[in-house]
Amino acid sequence: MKKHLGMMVLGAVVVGALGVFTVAFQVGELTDLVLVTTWGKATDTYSGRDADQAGLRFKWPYPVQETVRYDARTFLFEDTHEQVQTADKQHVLVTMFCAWRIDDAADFYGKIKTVDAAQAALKSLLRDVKVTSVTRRSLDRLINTDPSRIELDEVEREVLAAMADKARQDYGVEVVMVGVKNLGLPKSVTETVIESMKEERRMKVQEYETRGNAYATAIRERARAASEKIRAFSGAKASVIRGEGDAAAAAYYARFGEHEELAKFLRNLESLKITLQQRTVILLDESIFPMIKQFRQDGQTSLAPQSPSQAGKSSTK
Amino acid sequence: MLDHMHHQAPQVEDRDDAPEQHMDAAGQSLVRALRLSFRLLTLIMMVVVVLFALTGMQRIETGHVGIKSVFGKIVGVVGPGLQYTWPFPVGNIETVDVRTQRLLVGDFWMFETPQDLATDLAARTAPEPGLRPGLDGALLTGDKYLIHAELECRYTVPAENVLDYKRNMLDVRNMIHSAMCSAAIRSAASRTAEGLMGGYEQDMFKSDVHRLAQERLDRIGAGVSISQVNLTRTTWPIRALPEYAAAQRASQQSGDRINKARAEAEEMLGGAAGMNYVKLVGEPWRGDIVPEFSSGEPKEYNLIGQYERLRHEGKQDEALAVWDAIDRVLVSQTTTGEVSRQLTAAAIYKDGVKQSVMGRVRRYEELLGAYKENPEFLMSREMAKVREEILASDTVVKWFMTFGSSPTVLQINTPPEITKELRQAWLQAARDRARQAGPSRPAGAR
Repeated sequence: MKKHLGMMVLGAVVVGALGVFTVAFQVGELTDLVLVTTWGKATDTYSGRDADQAGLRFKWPYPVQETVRYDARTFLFEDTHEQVQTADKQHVLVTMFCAWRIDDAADFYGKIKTVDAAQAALKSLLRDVKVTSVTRRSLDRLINTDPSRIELDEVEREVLAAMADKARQDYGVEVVMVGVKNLGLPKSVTETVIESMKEERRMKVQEYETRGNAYATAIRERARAASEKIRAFSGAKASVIRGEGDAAAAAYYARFGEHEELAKFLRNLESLKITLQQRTVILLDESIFPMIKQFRQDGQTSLAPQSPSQAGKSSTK
Repeated sequence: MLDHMHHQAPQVEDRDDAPEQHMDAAGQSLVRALRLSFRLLTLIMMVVVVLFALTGMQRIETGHVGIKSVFGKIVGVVGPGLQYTWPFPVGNIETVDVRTQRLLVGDFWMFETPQDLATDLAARTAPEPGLRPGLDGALLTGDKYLIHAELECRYTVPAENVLDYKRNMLDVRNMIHSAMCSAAIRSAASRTAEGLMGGYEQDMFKSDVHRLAQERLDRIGAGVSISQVNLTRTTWPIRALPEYAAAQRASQQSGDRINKARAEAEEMLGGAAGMNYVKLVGEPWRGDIVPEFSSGEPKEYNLIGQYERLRHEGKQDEALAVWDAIDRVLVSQTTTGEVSRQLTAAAIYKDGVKQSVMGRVRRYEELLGAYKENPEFLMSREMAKVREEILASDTVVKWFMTFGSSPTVLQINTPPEITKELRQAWLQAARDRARQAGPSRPAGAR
């Protein structure tokens, strides 16, 4: 008997474990909601959200007591892509999502029982309140380049508020959050929008061309004007510098006062020299150089034309 | 029972009877077989028990953490490595990936066939004039336009948030996806389509999507941290692409024209004053920017503009201060271009005129003594010197002429090109006169 004690203990443990399995159940911390029913009636609930309720729990074996297990975490669904008319008779396609979780397991079990059924009921509820909320607003309250005019947050708040009470009372669920997941336009409207986008771009092409030319012209004109201003200021400065030179020279002119004729004569000589030293043709006759007469011997040695016709061919530069 | 058989066996062996001995041998064999089976079963059960105990060991990979629970109650969060807990169903370790993960949000992108994916956007043709609801996604912008956009979200579950994550997240990717879509709708609703296509507005859009999506996730305690939001693709609706491409080209060309004009302007102004033109007139393509003058040194930007404004406002003293600053810039060594040439020429003139007058004065004073003695002689002597100098010059053509009894005629010919120009001018003048006289005759009229 002693020899087989180990085996007997092992057997007892296995049988005991199987026995415990019929009367014990686990409540997963954070994730489980467990409902215990006695003869089909919900009698106890254990929520994993509460750490004290999580862990190993016991019940009477089947068929006296049974457990129903729900997920305590947040479920998510989205409604259908649906056309809604706004207050200004525009049509938009609005899709919303809804995050929810089971609030009271016993209530949930008694009212709707399954997650799928709850989701279907919430979807229908979401659709109704969404339409009500969007229909009350014009399109420019949903999209607008002025952010202060947009009421998408208000739509979400309204939908959440409208769903929350009903969902809790009717289904025992908590609506955690709703949001607009998609906002679009019906197909026919998108056609119109795309056409207007195309038209706007065509106008942009012209605008870009005009603006480019105008800017380019303006830049050139401004640069030209600025350049002229620089020249004007520079010219003024140059005049001042030249004036300084002239003023300095004027001080010396006073010295010519004693014999002004000599000064004038010297100045004229200077001018004459400057003027006549470049590319000049000078006709010199006997009156200037009487020595030229020596060349005249019956016209044979003259440099002058021999006849009027030949004289006509003479030229000057 | 087995024990009983075991104790009975020696008694059988004691008997001196052949058939019974044979039976005893069979019994002994059976006993041995049963004993062996029992031991084998015991061994197997022990192995099973050991193996069962070992199922409590679990390997946690790098980049993951484990949430350890016993009978469903959380007893700790463990890091990577070999971890042990009670075997199932008593204990459990649930792993959570804490690495950065990527989620692509294609809700606002068009439907694409495999053939579309192999074709460049510009080469595609839209199957229908409008967007197909449920197939072609798009963002509706604040200016009531549509653009296609694809977003990418990178997120992590920080190790310190794993319990929040476990508490609330049943389908984390779907939740992040919904939060991203909602944030994108909200951010696009207040922006222009043009802005979302690039630049600062697009950056702000991404930043807003990031913020709004994170706020949403935080509101439900998701325990998820979005690290990055990107716009992986954006485009205008396919049907409008050619017009947008044309507009983009026009914009590019417009920009090119402006840049060219600017380059010309820079060259023009650089030619006027070198790089110091900025100090003198600013940068005219930036608009008419005139810095405010305060006491002290004026700001060296658009000094001429400052001067003109101060003059216009009647602030003469301030204008003079700016004038001095302009003066300094004009004569600065770093000022080049036409200004530099003009002022250099003026400086040369200044020196030249002074030197020239000084030279004349010197010569005048040299000759003054001789002039006083005999003015006529001096003048004719100086005249003769100059005449000789002129006539000795290589560039002066001298024609020595002797005159006979007949008259000398000099005919000056005009060069042929001048003659041609004169003739053309004469013809043009005749045409102008005819035009002014009255309307031209109809074709065919004589």
